[in-house]
Parts: sequence; structure tokens; C-alpha cells
Amino acid sequence: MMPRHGLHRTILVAALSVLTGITIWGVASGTLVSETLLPHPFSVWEAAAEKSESGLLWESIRVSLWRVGWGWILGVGAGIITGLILGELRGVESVVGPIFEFLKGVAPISLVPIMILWFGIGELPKLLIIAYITWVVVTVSTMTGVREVPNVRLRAARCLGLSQLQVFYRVILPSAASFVLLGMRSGIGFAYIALVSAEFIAVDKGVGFLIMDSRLNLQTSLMVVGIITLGLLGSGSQLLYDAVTLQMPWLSRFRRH
Amino acid sequence: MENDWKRLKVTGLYKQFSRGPVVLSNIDLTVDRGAFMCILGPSGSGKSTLVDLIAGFEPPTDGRIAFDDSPIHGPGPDRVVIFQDIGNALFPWLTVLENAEFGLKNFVRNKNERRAQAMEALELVGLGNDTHKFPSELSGGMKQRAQIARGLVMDPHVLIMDEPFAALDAITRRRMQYELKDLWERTHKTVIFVTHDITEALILATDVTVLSSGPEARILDTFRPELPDERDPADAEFIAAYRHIESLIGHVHDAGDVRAETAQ
Amino acid sequence: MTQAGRLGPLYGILLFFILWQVAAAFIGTPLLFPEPMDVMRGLARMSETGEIYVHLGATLQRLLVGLGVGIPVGAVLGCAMGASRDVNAWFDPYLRMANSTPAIALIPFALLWFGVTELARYSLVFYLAVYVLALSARQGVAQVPHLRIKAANTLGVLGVSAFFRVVIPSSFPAILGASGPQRVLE
Ligand SMILES: Nc1ncnc2c1ncn2[C@@H]1O[C@H](COP(=O)(O)OP(=O)(O)O)[C@@H](O)[C@H]1O
Ligand SMILES: [Mg+2]
Repeated sequence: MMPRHGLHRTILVAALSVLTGITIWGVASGTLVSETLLPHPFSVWEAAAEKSESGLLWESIRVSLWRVGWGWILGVGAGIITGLILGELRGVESVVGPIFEFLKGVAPISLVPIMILWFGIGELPKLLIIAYITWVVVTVSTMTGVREVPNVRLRAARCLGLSQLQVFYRVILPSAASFVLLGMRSGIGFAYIALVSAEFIAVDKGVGFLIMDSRLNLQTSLMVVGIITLGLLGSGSQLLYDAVTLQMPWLSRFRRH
Repeated sequence: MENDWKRLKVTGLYKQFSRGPVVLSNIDLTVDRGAFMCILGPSGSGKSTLVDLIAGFEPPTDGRIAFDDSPIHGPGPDRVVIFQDIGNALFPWLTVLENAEFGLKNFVRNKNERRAQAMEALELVGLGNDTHKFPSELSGGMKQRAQIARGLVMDPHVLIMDEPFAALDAITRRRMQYELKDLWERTHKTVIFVTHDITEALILATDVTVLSSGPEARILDTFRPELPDERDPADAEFIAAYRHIESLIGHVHDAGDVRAETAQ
Repeated sequence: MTQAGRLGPLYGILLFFILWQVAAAFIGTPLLFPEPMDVMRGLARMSETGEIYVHLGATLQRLLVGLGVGIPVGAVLGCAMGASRDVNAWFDPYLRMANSTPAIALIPFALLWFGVTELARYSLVFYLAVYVLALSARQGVAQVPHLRIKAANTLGVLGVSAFFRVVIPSSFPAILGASGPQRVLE
């Protein structure tokens, strides 16, 4: 479909685009739009440098990563287990599936007040919100993975003499693995949405709090720093996930179809 | 597992899926040990249903399936199936060798022994040099060879093949037919081979069973084609046998075949 | 599909309400965990007073305005990116950034720019619609079977006209699929 151009040209155009974008941003700030609304790139840079030196930025990142990391790990573990169980119970999936699809669509932020009511304002409710949404996402994909195992594959295993239990861990688990991996990846995005939702409300640390707090203090440059940091953390996490899963040769087997 | 069985006997078999029409009606079939039995019939006649019952994937509505006098119970390694579905029958996360070893794991403890048996089967089907490839790296013909090796290594009483070559191109298909015949002559494994291709059946079979078109498919004829060991589709005897089968199938009603073909 | 398969979602909804009711009975504090019946009563009361229609109307209006403007912009952008490598390279960095920043993080920014106004809400919905649509339209265009374009070419439909008459209609399912309001509701 697309005409062939070199990779060099793509990089060149992208770089040109980013440069143009930043230039327009720099020129517009303070002339077309007031600096309170659109801080100058330099002042964003300064804010980043200052907060990096004072350690506030790093502390926020550390706290947020801790929350999102553990929440995600908990959610993935629980999601794989529920997904496998629900997927194995034939007939149940068509009943439970829509509930999970619905839960996936409910914004995590609507759960924050209830979580705070139940668990107070410590770390627990934040972790649970992140874990919860990851759990929903991973459950859905694991369940799909179990259901999508081709019937022929199950039959082949049965006539080669495997018991039901052996079919489960020698055929269904490896067959579902690629779906689980995909679910874990999209779980990252959902985990970050949940993180920000949790940190916007009743919290004193974290990148989300940094954004909220700087809005209240009208430190727009810091707010931009926070948003960019979140974006970098989010895409960085996905890149890391891709790199790690691609580095494991035994995992690459399960992507073959 | 009984090892001195003489024949696989199917008697008075009926099959009706829940709330569906009767698919198979009063099927009697005897497969002698060492025979190459081809089950021939138009698409949708119930050939797959019949072998699914023999393989134990589906319970019969009525009738019995037994090796001599011991009835079969569910699927098991004494009746390994080679499937038509080239894309899904092998385990995509395992190499050719690991696929061939897959079923042995329950029966052969020693890893080296297992490997040796799998290698032997793979060499038998001509895959000795492709053991470390993954299924996604194999051509259609190679995939089916790997499947046959995976089945043979279990040393089943019967190898059940459900249109194993139907998804291959015509040239590969013909080559696989002669390879399979060669393999059978060397191993004398009992084979139940399903096909809708009359020529294929006559190239391979010692015994032919012709099924009528569905629903309520029944057996039209079972016979031993009197053909030389070297089968040549251009021989007069071959053509005569071909005509005989064609007249059997055409006999029922042509409209039924067309309906079955379009339903597929 | 089997009977159970078709009715499955219905059972699912029933099960959901039963679980909810049971959980509420266990927790027993309406403030912490409202019963489904209470929620229904609340909904009924709000619909009697007309309150619910005001809320629903506002939400719908936000969606309609934001999506109405955002979907065409995103679809056109995505199709253009799918058609040209240069256009793709130009906008790709921004799309990546949008995709890895949770939209919810932009709420403070929208509030800063527009205050607590409808415009702030429109702009967020618009932003979401643009980048979600652009992503899937681009993918839709990239996934058009090459054979279909070849078929158009042998019939004399070439270049730009093939793009409008074959590629765009072919990628419609992807574009429509992305227009589901689900993600925008957050
Ligand atoms: N699981 C099933 N449930 C209901 N009907 C079935 C099922 N499997 C096969 N059939 C029906 O049985 C008939 C025979 O199918 P099949 O055995 O696949 O034919 P063949 O292999 O000869 O082409 C067809 O009409 C098909 O629709
Ligand atoms: Mg069949």
C-alpha cells in the first residue's frame, strides 16, 4: 500500500516534525497564548531540571512506579488464575464474559471514592484499583485464549493418550499463552490510567499528584513536566515489556501460529 | 491394551446429534488387522462423523465399536487420528521432533529412548533433516508427514486418517498418496482412510467402503478391489473399479450430492 | 451458536445484579455499598423529577459534539497517514505520545485552559476521538488486502481514485469499530 521510502527519510521527517512542533510551541507561548496557559519550552525544561535536582521528580516517579508495578503484578497473577478457571468452565464464559467486558469499560476513577471509603487513604486502595483493572483486562484475554484453542488440537492431544489434566497444562496453557501476553501488555495502559485516577484524589505523592498539585498552585510548567513524565513512563513500560518478552526465547515459541 | 486383536468391528451404528437429523444409519463395518480401509463418500455424508465415533471423540447413539470383543472407551493412543486441518493439528510451540515425542511422554520414561523412537518415525516419513523446525516453517505436505510420524510413533492398533491430503495441492497430494502406500507396505499398520476422492481410494485401499450421501447415510457397498499391487489410474481394471464406485454413488440421487457439496 | 450462548449475556446481567445484591446484603452499609434496588429507586426518583434527563442530556451532548467533530478529523488523519509514509512520519510522534499518556492526566490541563466549562469537556472527548480514530484508520488502511487494490487496478481504477473507491471503503470496518463510545466515556 505505502510507497517505499528509506528508514532514514522516516526518521528525518519525524525529527523535522518534532522540531517544528517545539518551535511553534516556543513562539506561540507568551505571544499568542499567555505563559500561564502554555508555558515556554525553556521554562518546562527549567522546572524539570529544578525538580530533578531537588529530588521531587525522582521521588514522584519512584512512588508511582512502585504502585503501578505491584498493582500490575498482582492483577496479572489474579487475572491469569481467574481467566483460566472461567475459560475452562464451558458455558460459563458466555455468561461471565459480558460482565467483564462491562467492567473493562467502567472508568477506574469511578471506583476511587468507594475504595477510599473501604480502605482509607493509604497505599492499599491505590494498589487495589490498579490491580483490579489489570485483573479485569488479563482475565478477559486469558479467558479468550482458553476458549480459542482449536478443537482439533484438543482432539489430537486426547488421541495421543493425554488425560484431561494433561491436556490442560500441556495444550491449553501453551495455547493460551500468546493471549495472556497480549492481555498483560494492554494491562499496562489500563494500569497507568488507574494510577493517575488514584493519584488525582487524596494522595500526597506520585506523578499524578504532582500534576494535580501544580495545577492548584498554577505552576503550569511543572504540570507539563508531570504529563510528559507520565507519557514517558507509560511508553517506557511497554517498551520494557516488549524487550523483556522478546528476550525470552522460550516465550517466542508461543507466538507461532 | 489387547495386542493380539484380529479385527475392528463396528456393528449397528447409529448417530444423531442432539436435535439434528440422523447422520449415520445402521452402519456395519469390519476392518481386518493389517488392512488399508478406505471410507469413500460424498462431502457431508458422515465420513468424519463415522471416524470420530471410531476414534472415541463422540459417543454413538446406538451400536457398538470393538476390537474383537473389547469395546472402545473414548479416545486413546490405540486409535490415533491424522487430521485434515493442516494449520491446527500440530502444536505450533513445539518443534517437529517435540511434536513427534508429544504422546510418547506418557509411555516412555527414558528421554533418550523417546527421542530415538521419534527420530525413527520422522526418518520413516522423510523428515529426518527437519526435526528442529517449527510447524510454521513447514510446507503443507511436510506438516502432514510430521502428523503421520507423531501418530506412527505411538504404534497404534489403527491409524485413522480423515481426508489428510485434501488441503494439499494436486501434485503434492499424489506424491503423498504414493509415499503413504509405500509406508504402509513397509509397516503394515492398519489404516482407516477417509476420502471423497475415488482415485485416491483406489490407489491406496485393500478394502473400500462406500457411504451414501446424507442424511441417514448408510453403507452402499464394501468390497476388495481386485487390483495389482502397483496401482495405475490408467489401467483398465482401475477404470472399471472407478466406474463401479461412481455408479454406486450416482445411483442414490445426484441432487443429494450437490446439496451436500454446497452445504460443506 | 447454542441456546445458552445466545442467552448468555442475559444470564450474565442477571448474575451481576444477584451478586451485587448479595454483596450489598453482606456489607450492610448503604453508604459504603448501595444495593441495586436503592440505585434503581434513585434512578426512578431522578427520572420523575427530570433530573436524570438533564444529566443524561449533558453527557450525550458532550459525546455528540466531541465525537461529531473528532471522528471525521481522526478518520481523515488516519487515512492520510495510512496512505503516505511522509504524513505518517510527521504525525506519528504525536500519536505515540497521545497513546502512552492516559487521557485522564490531561483533565487538569483542559480545566486550566477552558475552566469548568462545556468546552473543557468537548475538547477532551475531541482529543480522544481524534487519536483513537487516527490509530485505527491508519491500521485499517494498512490492512487492506493487496489483491483488492490489484483487482481495482486491472479494472482501470488507479492511484488516487483507487484509494477513494477501494482502500477507504475497505477500511471502513476498522474505522467504525473504533468509533464505539466505550473509551471516550472515561
Ligand atoms: N457436531 C455436530 N452437530 C450437528 N451436526 C453435525 C455435527 N457434526 C457433523 N454434523 C452433520 O453431520 C453431517 C455429516 O458431516 P460429516 O461427518 O462432517 O461429513 P463428511 O465428513 O462426510 O463431509 C453433516 O450434515 C453435518 O452437518
Ligand atoms: Mg469430513
